[in-house]
Amino acid sequence: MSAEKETEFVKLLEEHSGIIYKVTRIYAKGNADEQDLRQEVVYQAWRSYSRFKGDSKFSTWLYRVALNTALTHKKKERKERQGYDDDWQVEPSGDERALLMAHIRNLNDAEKLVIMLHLDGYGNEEIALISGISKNHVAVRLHRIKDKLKAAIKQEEDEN
Amino acid sequence: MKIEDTWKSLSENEERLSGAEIRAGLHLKSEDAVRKLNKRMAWKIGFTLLFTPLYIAALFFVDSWLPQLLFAIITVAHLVGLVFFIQRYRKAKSFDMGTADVKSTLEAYLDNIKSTIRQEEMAGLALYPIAAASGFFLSLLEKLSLEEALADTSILITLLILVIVITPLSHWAARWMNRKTFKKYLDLLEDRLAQIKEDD
Repeated sequence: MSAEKETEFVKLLEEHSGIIYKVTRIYAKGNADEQDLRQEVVYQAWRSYSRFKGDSKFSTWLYRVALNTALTHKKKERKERQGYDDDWQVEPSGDERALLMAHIRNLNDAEKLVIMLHLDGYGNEEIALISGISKNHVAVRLHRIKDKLKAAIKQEEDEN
Repeated sequence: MKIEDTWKSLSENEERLSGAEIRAGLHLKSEDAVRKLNKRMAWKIGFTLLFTPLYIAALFFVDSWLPQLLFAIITVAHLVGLVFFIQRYRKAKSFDMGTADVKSTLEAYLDNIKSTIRQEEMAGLALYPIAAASGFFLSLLEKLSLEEALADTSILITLLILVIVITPLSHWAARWMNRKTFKKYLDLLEDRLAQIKEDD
């Protein structure tokens, strides 16, 4: 790709890099993994950028790339770590933001995706488009996830 | 805690990638792959260094000319292999991925690694029957003399079967190990090369 295209991409990605941070923070296993995954997302986004025709918002496209990369990365990790204990849970600690992040990280992959997009202001239709889940199913899932999160947060608050 | 408000506050305070970090990420992957591949080339030198003394030692433990000859062939092959791997490793290390002509550099780099693996596998095909025979005679000559062993047709047939079984199995195992060790990074560089060619 041309230098001009690269500059345009870097500018766009810089502007929307919060998405990359959020996705990697939620899907990666630890700091080192998070950094690896962030690098992988940037690389994959750059590789796919020539196919981005502007049919959707850049942020939606970036979400899709970041999520696909994160899920592939996890699959690869799981394959490499076959036989090891892969059932990891994050112990919630820190301020409210860290707590929320920890509770989201403890959801399953599909739940993480749905709640993250919803909280970032995406409508059910867009969530369905990105995740491949039907629109009606998104609404049902969202309701369940919110209940699950609220229960986990309440339990946490009651314990402290 | 209200989930939506907390998330909003989290988003507002979220870190951002700088332009320099993004630019580094666009190319860092191939440099990483090159570093990893070079490291794996160094492993080949390490393994050869580890096994060669064992074959040299075996030369002094056997007192029959045939296994001695077989071990001598394997030792020489390992020494030649050692020189070959060192040369190829030094060549691999000499490539500068930051050069202006990334395409030719990558092509030459990939060619060096892939031909090293290919030639190692081909040399292995010639060596596995010798290695199988040397091991076979080593254990056999504890009970029989070489003359007795060579005069016995059933022993020679067993040796032949062993060689026929061991050779393709070892070749398959070597290819599998090379695939496990190198493929991921070779694929990454091939992808990068394909992308560069597409951009041209």
